[in-house]
Amino acid sequence: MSFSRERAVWLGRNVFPHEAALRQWLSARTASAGLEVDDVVQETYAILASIERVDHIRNARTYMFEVAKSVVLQSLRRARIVTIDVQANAQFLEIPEDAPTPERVAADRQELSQVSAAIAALPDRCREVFTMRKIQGLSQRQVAEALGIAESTVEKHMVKALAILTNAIGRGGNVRNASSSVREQRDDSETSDRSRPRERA
Amino acid sequence: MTDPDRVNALDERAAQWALRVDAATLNPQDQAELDAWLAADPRHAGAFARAMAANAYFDRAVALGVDRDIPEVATGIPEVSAEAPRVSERRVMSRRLWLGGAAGAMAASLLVALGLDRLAGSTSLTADKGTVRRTALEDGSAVTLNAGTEVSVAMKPLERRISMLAGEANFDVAKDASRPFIVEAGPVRIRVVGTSFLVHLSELGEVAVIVREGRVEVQAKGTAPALLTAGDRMTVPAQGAITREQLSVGEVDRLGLWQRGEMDLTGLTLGDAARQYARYSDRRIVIDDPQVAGLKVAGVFSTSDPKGFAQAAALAHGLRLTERDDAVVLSRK
Repeated sequence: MSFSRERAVWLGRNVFPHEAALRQWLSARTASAGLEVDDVVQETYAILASIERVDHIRNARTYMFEVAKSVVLQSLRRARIVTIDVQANAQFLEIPEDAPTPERVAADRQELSQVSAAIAALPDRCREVFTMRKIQGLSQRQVAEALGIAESTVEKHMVKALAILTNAIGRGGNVRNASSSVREQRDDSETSDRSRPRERA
Repeated sequence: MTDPDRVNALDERAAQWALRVDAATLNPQDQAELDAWLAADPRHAGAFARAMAANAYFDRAVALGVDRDIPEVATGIPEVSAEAPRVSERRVMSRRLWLGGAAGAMAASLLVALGLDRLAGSTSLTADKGTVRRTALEDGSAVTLNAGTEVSVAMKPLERRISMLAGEANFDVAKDASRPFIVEAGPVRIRVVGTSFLVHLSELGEVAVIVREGRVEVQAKGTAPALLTAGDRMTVPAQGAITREQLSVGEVDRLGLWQRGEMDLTGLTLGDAARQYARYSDRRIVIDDPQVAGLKVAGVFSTSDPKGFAQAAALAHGLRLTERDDAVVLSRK
């Protein structure tokens, strides 16, 4: 799969800012069904990355929720771990009403300061490398030379910085809490994994 | 204390690829490695798309001036370990969802998640309204029936034979050169060894064969056999000339969307879309106003959720949605 830079930008601007809300919405609904939020979120991104056009999507947040919902329903149906009653229940998977989507979500001051806080909370070397690469715009080689470390080490720090930031914002705003909820979620899913009825062979 | 910097290995790998793609430092070998990684597991495409999205998001945040509150970097700090924490390899069925663009070769692995109906002799398989049915055959092949499809299956020692009576079905055929897999749809006979292809038999008797993987030999009554390869669509009308065209990967994927409970309604009117839903669901979408019925829709929607579609349509066109017992009604505000 490859998708365009434009699509990545579109996803970054219109979808990623709502990931935390989507996770929150999903976590209440998927746990009982034995689904993993991470999987649904990934699948949602994969679909949004692979659909041919996005220019017809007026409200990306709602669209993202719709896609996630179809992923959940599809999974439930495929796994046969849920009865028709559950699917028919209108409350289940009711997509929340959305306040008008802010066109420039990242411009929201509060959100910017969240991002700042997340960057500030990075481990020092990660923050240093991230700042030099993204904010000062230095190349990987320039950063390596400036810090006297290998380019591959620069890459490692950068990768880690992006992964941490992605989880901090994507999993729900508050940086410290975000990462502990990652942990909890993982633990939960381990449990639900075990308790889930196995697929019939 | 929990480590706030724990990230899972998949997210980290996805971040690495996103950054490399972003920096445009991929050589052809890296590109091949990336492609292989994406194809290796359906989760990878989603994680990659998410990382690309996040990277673009942070670029934008930085461009908007996020750096004011970030403390200066202290010096002399011991280097952090960049080692990724181990993440258990849990398998979850949702990972087997078929990702359109991600990996065409995935189709067959979906079937692992399904009940394996043992079939012997000649058996009839049907998918009623509102259901898409997948059935694993004894040879490891699999048949996926769209709503309202009926086929009969005969697994014989020297051949595997499927007769299509109506509808649309996708076949993922296990390789067995000694036992050809034959599908008969109306006047068309399709013979394969191991592949994935889709057959649509319309009510008017038109047959369309679309090959997703591998090669398929198609023979319409009274014509020479033709060899189709991946991406080929051959259309055999009840009367008139046979046509053949090459589809893009995206088009092939779109045509198979029903297999994962979705349909692409792009370009249809609301009225047409409502009729499409009638095929899958008893919950009708009612549109009394012809002007509303003529509005265009776009997007991929869940076949099992007419209300969800109606909500999206109402949102997109500023319509009013009211619910009745067996129907959702779309009207002007």
